[in-house]
Amino acid sequence: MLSEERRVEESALTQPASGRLANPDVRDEFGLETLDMNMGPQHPAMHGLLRLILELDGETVVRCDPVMGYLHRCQEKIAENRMYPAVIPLTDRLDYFANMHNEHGYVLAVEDVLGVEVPPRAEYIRVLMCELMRLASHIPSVGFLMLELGAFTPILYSFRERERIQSIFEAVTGARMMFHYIRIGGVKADLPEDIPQKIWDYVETLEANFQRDFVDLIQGNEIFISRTRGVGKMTQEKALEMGVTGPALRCTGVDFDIRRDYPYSIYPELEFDVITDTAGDVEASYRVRIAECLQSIRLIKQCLEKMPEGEVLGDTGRRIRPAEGEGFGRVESPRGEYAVHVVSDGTDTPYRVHYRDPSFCNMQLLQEVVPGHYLPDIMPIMGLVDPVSGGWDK
Amino acid sequence: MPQVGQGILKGMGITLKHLFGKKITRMYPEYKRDLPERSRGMLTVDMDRCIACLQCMRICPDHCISIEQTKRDADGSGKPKPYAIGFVIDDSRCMYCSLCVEVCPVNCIYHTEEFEAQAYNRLELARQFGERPVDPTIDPKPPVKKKPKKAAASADGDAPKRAPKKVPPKKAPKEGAAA
Repeated sequence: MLSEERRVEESALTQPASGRLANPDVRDEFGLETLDMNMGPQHPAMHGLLRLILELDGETVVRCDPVMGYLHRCQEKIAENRMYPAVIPLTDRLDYFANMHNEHGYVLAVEDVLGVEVPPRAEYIRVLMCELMRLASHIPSVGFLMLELGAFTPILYSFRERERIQSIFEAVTGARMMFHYIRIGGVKADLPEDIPQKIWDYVETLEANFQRDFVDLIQGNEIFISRTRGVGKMTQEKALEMGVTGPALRCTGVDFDIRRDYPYSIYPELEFDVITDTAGDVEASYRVRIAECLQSIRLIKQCLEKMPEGEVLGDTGRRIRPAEGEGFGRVESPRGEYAVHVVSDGTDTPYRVHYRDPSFCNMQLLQEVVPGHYLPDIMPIMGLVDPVSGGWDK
Repeated sequence: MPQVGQGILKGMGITLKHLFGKKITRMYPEYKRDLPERSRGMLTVDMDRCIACLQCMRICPDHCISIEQTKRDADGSGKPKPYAIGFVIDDSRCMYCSLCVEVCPVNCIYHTEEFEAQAYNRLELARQFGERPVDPTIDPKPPVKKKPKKAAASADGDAPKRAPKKVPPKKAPKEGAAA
């Protein structure tokens, strides 16, 4: 009797996600019922403040609805009442693991509508800082993924690296997380004299220890493989259909990177590879992140080598008051495409600011991918998406 | 099943190596690291240099600075100049964006290296610098001078500024400019 039950269940689960739920015949026939369960918003393993409404059939998830909004701060509305430069410190608070990218995206949008010339040295410093930020985001992402699988060591090693990068940021910008460094028309101040050498030394040591601390430690581990291989599997078509970007898209094999396909700043002058993987599961996203870290190191070295001398802040005038029009800026944040749309009506304050945050847009992947997995597999899948609370709620 | 457990053993070897390495953690309250030069801590003001231009109060996005302005002949030149008789920085609102530091023409407001702002009461975090205490809970309103009357013609006055926002942004500023 039991084996028969299980067989019917499995046949129900092979149908598309939307069909699994609306299949009451299977449940009625055997008197089986699904169980509704809330996971979060306060959950020790959950990424930030996310609530998942789960429908469980035994230990298998048949429906997963993410509920967002527990950290909503009306960032877009507040931005409408502030002057253009005063919005930049707010963008730091969006995706708090990719602050530099948030600033960069907003600044690109305002520069688009303002039409200001950015000095080349400022562009190099921006890219240098953004790539450091990508390192400081990807490395803890790997650590968080392992933490969700129950391994505590990688998170300590990854936060050791993040702290070192934050110390570099503190010396350059003055703050460890809320930088307020990239400004409209350039950056706030030039790099301190000793910092390029410090960054170079740090990146060299990171490169030397990277294989040991983040690849050898994790990649061959049997528990890691059994928990991640084939989990959260996603096809290219589905990923494209859902508008997924970033490592979650590249791990399915789609070759898409804003830095190369819609180039901004000085990325066309730099050499780097877009990392893809074919498996499309959690393990593949881990491999993509690890390989992207090495590409970031490569970009940082190129920036330091090629950096020209000169001004770092272009002339924007005393008051930033763009003519009426629209500006758009998109950057490749560690989680995917981060885009900002600014509408100006000719006054000091923007008429409308809209942020397209990858954490929010990648979240709909959960509804499609999670059903059919066991309950404990949700956490590795969250590690694949790697959302940040401040990003999806704005 | 060949080699099961090899990956785990390899990982354990790496952690064992780290065990005998140099410690990277420090005991924070006893040990404090040196902050870099640009580090942004709590704000402070040098009242002798302040010329009460109110630019920091105007630019602060969080309204954490309130200044009470009077006219006083402080330097004995016989001509009364603006003088900040009350100056309060509310650290419970400050977000350390350093916009006020950049805008100050005489560099009298600056960041210190202190960052441990804690108190039992929110009002304790409001630090008074002037002779007369200022209520930090009221949002500061810079005094309205001649400027707005002139600016009203150039789409910057209060009334015409918000009104065009209701209509599509294409036409809005033109109507504002006409008014």
